[in-house]
Amino acid sequence: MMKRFNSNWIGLFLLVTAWGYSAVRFAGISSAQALEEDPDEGKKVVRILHWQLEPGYREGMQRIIDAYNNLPHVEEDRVEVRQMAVTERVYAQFLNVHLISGTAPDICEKGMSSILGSGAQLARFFEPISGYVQKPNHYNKPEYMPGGMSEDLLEALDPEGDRLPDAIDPELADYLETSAWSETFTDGMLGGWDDTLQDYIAVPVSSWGAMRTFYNIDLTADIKAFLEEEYDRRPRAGWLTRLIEEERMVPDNAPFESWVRTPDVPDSLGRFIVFCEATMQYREAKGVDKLVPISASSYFTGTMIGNYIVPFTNAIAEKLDVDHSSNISHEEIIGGWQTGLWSFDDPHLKDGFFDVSRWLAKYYPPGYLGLDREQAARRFIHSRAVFITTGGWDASTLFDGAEGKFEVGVIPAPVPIEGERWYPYSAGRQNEAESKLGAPMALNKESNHFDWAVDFLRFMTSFSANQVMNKEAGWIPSVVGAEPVEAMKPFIPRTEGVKPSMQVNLSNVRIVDHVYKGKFPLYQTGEISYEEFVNDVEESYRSDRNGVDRVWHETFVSNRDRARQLERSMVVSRLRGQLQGWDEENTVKHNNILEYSLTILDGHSTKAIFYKYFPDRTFPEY
Amino acid sequence: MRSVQTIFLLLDEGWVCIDGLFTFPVPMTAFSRYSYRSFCCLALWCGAVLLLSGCRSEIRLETPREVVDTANDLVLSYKIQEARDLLLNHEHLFPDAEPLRPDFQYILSLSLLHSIPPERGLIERAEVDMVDMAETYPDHPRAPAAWLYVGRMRDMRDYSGDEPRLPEAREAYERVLERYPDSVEAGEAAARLAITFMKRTEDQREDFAKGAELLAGWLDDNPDTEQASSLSLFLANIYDAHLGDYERAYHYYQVAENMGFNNQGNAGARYWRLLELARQLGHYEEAVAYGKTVIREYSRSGRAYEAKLLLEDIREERPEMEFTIPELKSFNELETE
Repeated sequence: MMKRFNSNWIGLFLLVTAWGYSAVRFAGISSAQALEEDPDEGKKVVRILHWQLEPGYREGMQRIIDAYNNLPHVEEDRVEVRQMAVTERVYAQFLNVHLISGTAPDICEKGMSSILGSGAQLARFFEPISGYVQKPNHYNKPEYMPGGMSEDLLEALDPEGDRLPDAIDPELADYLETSAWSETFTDGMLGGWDDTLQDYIAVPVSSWGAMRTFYNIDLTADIKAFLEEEYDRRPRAGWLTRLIEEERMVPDNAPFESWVRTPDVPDSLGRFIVFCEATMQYREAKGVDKLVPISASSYFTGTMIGNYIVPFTNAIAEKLDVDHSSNISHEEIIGGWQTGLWSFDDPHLKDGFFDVSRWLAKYYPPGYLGLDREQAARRFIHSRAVFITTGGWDASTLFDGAEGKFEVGVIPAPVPIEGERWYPYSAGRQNEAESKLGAPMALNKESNHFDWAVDFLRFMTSFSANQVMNKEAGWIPSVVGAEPVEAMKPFIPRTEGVKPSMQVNLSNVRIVDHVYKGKFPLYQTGEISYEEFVNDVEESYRSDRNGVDRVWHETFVSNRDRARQLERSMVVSRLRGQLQGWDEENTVKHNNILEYSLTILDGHSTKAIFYKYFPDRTFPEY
Repeated sequence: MRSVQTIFLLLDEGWVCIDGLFTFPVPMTAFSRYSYRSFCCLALWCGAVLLLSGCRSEIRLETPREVVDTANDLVLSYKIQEARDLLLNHEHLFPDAEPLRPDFQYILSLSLLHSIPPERGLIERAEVDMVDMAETYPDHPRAPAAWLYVGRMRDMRDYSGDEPRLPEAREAYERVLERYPDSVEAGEAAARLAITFMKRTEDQREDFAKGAELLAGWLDDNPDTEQASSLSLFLANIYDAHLGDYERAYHYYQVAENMGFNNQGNAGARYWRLLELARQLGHYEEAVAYGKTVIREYSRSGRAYEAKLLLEDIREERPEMEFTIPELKSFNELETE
């Protein structure tokens, strides 16, 4: 009888082979490093690691890397910057392993990695840079500015002559030259700030831009013409009458009529729904079977509903902010539900947010949850969808993809206006005033060429280099006064609207979010009723094991751990004060951490809120 | 000094990552069955790890001064475990008669306390060393900080199963306040002492009023302390969020504001709360001033738009008040603020 092959041997074989290969590689590279301080022919190689594989980003970065590598003082010191782009699917593993083994690149984009988080763990691997950011950026001196830079540098940065102006406003030039490096960023460098450390830990080199809705201008005009015909038809088209009279999507008034008679994109949520329904009718009338109004996917920005959490839950959030922090915590959300401060019957939710979500889902492609980010973008680029919602990071993909096919427009997600169905439940648009810059580049503590790494980041975030890189990438620059490409201007954050942190985001409440996330799509697509959806979610909230009581416990534990993290940061700032004197910077930093630490009461702030709601209950323990 | 650090990491994605030079995926099916072969395989693997970790080099220093300075530098770089290992490896250099012994005990205790993961044995030793240092060298410049940390070790839950010992923690904080009232640590000790009354444990119900009263008393006696703004803000938050005493909350928010908010990143939210409270308490002139501050100086707080709406409401409610409402700034205008 033949013996059955044991698959464990495959695993063992792979392990032994991998171990052997690893050992040989390690020994080889270690001995090379031992023999020669720099394995790359005496060059000082500065590596920059990032995950931005969007079209244009690597090319933009490479252009400024080449320009930097050709600067006379850089060449003289035999310094060479190289970029390493790694897909976000393995970025975290790649970075974790290299940080722990001490072989990480000199500059790493901060993010993705779960072991880094924030606070002391982050500072263990990356260098806090407060000491650097207070000094001006010497690459903003006139010799690196448009109008003052050498021919060679200009040729390297802007060979086509379309990325930089001939000269810049002298007042702006003076500001950039004399201000602290941190003050030359459009967000004051908040994108590189870590609250737990109370320090700058990274240098943000680009802005991801705000969330926007892209639309196909050509298709919009065609569908608007179709809508106008339908509007004028006598008797008026049944679907339109139903939306206006039964569903009360829009008031049948002069402003609506005048909007119908223009090729303009919808500027309110009611008109948006009318337009989406018109698209469905247009598809049927013209026989374009694959056309859908909205290209949606399972990507985190893949559906439009994310735009409506703040507008429809802001009023509830204002009631829940019991600690007056202008932020709604998990415990405030669940405590509010347990004590009846809000419920799923609240019209802001039932008749507002959830109703909107179901209407929008009617206009997504069938099976949209099985589609990914690329598929959604492709649908839009191939004119099989009129709208797609995403952030500025996808702009170049969409603009480039549509080039030569159709024109792309960009709008903020429309909100309800007076007289429309959802207007009574909406607080209006959320503002984007607190937007922070992105692509934060952190400096590896173990870098052999730390000062050069800092120098390159200064170059990268100088006015000229930053504008060139981001224009090439189609992103928004991070430096004050630097201009994005024209197409990115709609992504500049808006300051009008309510505070975005004042929201009740039920898909984001730890522990109890699983059922919500699972059932919400079923409700959206009409597979279950609102009552069934609410029953299922509330049942999960009431669960003994993984319900809202568990949220209290986990939030307490998380705040308690945070208190220890803050304590660790305070050990360092106090020791610095004891050894080097309490200068103003360290005093402010220490007191800031102290403020955070005191406020959370070693985690007991959670218990305090619990006992406020339930004075006689025992705090849940698991 | 660089250690040989070949690491075999079992990552949660189910991959085995081998050394720091590349990532090599190995399916974990080999471990899916609890056969003796799987255990042999694991043992082989662990043996390899142990073999390689044995190659780690250690830092060897000659003098106590070098040891303490290096440990301090490591802690300042957040390399707390490395500092701990260094200090433990050089403990023999710090007999009782060694002048740097208190510095050694202090930094060792901190590095034991903040090693990750926290362990009972380490933290118990940290407390013993810190108490010994603080009692043996009461005039050492770090003695007040040592007592503060002793209080924190007793106050916080540091490891699984650690129960806060609030009465003992109070003793430590009171030592700071009584023996070192002018130290930098006194303000924090006063706040921590107050917080021990705000916690609910098996032995006590939370008493925010008592805690707040204690801290308010200390702040009245020490209004010019370095942490006065932060402590006033904390006290305002206690009156506001936990005691519902909005008059006092408003008072302490104003005290903090007059001294200047320490954390400018949150100042916009504080001015917003001042605006809300001023309106609620009928201090309309002050409400208008705070509203204008939010719009003009803290446009990035995310509350500027709402401050504008609130000022419009006040103008409607109090038509006798004449004031202008600043325009919201666009994002481009915010850039050079």
